Amino acid sequence: MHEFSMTMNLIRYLIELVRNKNARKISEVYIEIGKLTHLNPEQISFLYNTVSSNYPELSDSKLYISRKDAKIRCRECNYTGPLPSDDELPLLIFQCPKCGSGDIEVLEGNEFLVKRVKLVIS
Amino acid sequence: MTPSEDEILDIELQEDFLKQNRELAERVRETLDKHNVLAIDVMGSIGSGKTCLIERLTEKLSKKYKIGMIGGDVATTIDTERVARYGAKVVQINTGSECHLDANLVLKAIDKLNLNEIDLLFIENVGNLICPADYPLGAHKRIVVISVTEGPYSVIKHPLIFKEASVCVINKIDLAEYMNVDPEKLAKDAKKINPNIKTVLTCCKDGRGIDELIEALEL
Repeated sequence: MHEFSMTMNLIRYLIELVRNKNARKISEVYIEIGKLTHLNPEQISFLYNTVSSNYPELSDSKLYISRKDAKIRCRECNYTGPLPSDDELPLLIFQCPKCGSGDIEVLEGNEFLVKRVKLVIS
Repeated sequence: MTPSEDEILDIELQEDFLKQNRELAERVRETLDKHNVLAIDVMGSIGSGKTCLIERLTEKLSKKYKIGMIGGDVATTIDTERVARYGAKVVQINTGSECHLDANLVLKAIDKLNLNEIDLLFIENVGNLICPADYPLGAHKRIVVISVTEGPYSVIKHPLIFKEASVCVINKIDLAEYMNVDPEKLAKDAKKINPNIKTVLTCCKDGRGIDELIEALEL
């Protein structure tokens, strides 16, 4: 639901990056969105394309989005690994798949990560 | 100039925009701990009774604790005015457009409170069962308030927020039979998503369940 403010944060960050690197523009941006966030990749993509067209530094850029799976550590049995989804629930069930404990720590899946940027310098 | 003359700078990054909020939340927590203030983030749906719940808790606990409240809403100061009547020190945050509080807004708000005059702080989040889950505020406990008037599926439709919370309050149990909603079923749904969550059934209007909630919050 906060896709707009996150996309604007990304755009401001990228424009700043163009300035800091003395680049002309950005050609490719790779981001990763954790599955435990409420951020919808399709909306981010739509907003990015709409808003970035107003900025010459970004207007030719292409945004690539990948998803990051949830990874947990169980405080009871020390299981470390992915959190499987449950058929009955549309999202994920928050307990250790090995011992069933609910005392788990989320290691990955909460990110909105910029992983790689290609800048054009000339 | 032909494209082949362009030089490409390809950089790898690890810039996490949600991490910025988590780092600010840690600063909120450090500030609270320095002043021995226990903070509770009260999340929940619109109209579920979050303010009414804070009023009842303030009423019951004002002899034991010096209470503060930060109220988050898109507009108005209605909620903080209500809680201030019970003697709490209050600060209103109007988000204008955002549908959740974030750690940066809370950091600014606690700056306006004299933390030496407070030892229990309620942070009432913007009514919303989605976005607040992504934005920890640095509070020591997070609770989520829903009510039976939102129907029988409000828990299973919003699983992430129930994973984030340590206590789930199911309010307006006096209306359950009119709504044909079973509050126990809502509690069971929350437990299924988060086996560690404590569930409390309340009627904040007449105070039913408030003592059980105080116990669940270990206050």
